[in-house]
Amino acid sequence: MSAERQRETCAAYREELLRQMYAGAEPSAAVQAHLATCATCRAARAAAQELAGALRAALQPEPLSEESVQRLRQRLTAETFPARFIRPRLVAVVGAAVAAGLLGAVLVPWWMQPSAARAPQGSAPHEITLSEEDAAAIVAAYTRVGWEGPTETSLSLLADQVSDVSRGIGREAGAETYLPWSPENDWDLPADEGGAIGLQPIWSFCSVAGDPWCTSGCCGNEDPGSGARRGVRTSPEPIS
Amino acid sequence: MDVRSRLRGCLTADQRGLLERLYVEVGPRLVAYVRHAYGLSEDAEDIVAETFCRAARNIVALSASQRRDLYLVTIVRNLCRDRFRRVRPQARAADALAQRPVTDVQPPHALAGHEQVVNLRDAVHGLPAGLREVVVLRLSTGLKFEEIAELLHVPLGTALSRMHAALERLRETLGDHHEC
Repeated sequence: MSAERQRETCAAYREELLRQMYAGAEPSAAVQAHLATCATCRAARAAAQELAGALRAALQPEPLSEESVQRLRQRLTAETFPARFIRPRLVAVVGAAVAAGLLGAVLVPWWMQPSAARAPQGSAPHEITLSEEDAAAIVAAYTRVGWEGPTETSLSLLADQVSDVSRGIGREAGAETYLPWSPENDWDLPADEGGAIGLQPIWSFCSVAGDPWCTSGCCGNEDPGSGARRGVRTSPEPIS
Repeated sequence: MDVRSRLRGCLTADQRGLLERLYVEVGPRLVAYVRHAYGLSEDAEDIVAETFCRAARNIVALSASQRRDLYLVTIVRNLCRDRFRRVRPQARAADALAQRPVTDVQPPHALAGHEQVVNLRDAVHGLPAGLREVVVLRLSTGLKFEEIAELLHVPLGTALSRMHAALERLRETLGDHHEC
């Protein structure tokens, strides 16, 4: 075989060899047979492997620092929550639990009463819708609860519940009396950011006599907060 | 935005855990890709963080994806390309960086350690963008050639040819002492 022909043959095999190498495949039988007889191509293969190895080492990723991971956490938090609702975890969880409890204790039973009993006595019925701020506060509260229940299903269910409650408030006369906080009360903000820790209810009476969930005793409940402490509900008589 | 939409835009603990785990596992490869394929060394971590924020907004798709690393590479690649499109002068500067002369690059065997790494990276940065990207996708992100071809919207043979051409150029640049 002439030198020129030999070079062409080697070039063809080397091309195939390198393609197979880059693709992470073993050399074909034909290439292996050629390599067994051609020292030049074996050397070329070794050189290519050396270059690929050196490049792999030069381009290999470097682990990210803990600070970098921390920055991502903060960024994800900032992107998924409005800044207003970012606060220490304890405050958030406590706020969420209080908000969720009040929503369940006050709004749901009120909603289940006959419409005549819903309007507070002595007040003139008028339309009100849940303010955007209050709706956002409910969302934030429920979201915090959702964080503790890490499934999409639970979030979806919470979304439905919050949505139902919000709609209920929005279409009922006098509903503002039953809102668990006033729009001016930034209960969801920590005290050092101008908010109040815990809720400041604006209603002064219960919708039922002897409500076991009452915390003020306004309805004649002699042991305010007992229902909340027991974690169970009874069926008190609605105020006539 | 209504209540329902807002809640659904939030991440569950599992989803957040998935993102953080992927950031640790895949993030370094994405940073290397941004640095070596696009020369955006200083902005690399920021771009990768933005990638994960975008992934968070499409967390359902990411969770369902069988090839999450490829999903993330696709996002980071689009972000890099968007950045070049928005900031044209800088893009040209980056191209110029890639096109800078590499005549001072030394053969690998003549150097050692950090110097060799810098030398090889310079040689890679000197490759034409199309070839450079295939090399970095293969060696930094560890994608298979089939995945690279899909990402770049080219046939598999083209991706392999680009790798071949890139290494041929690098061998010429770095010096090859094993000619036939």
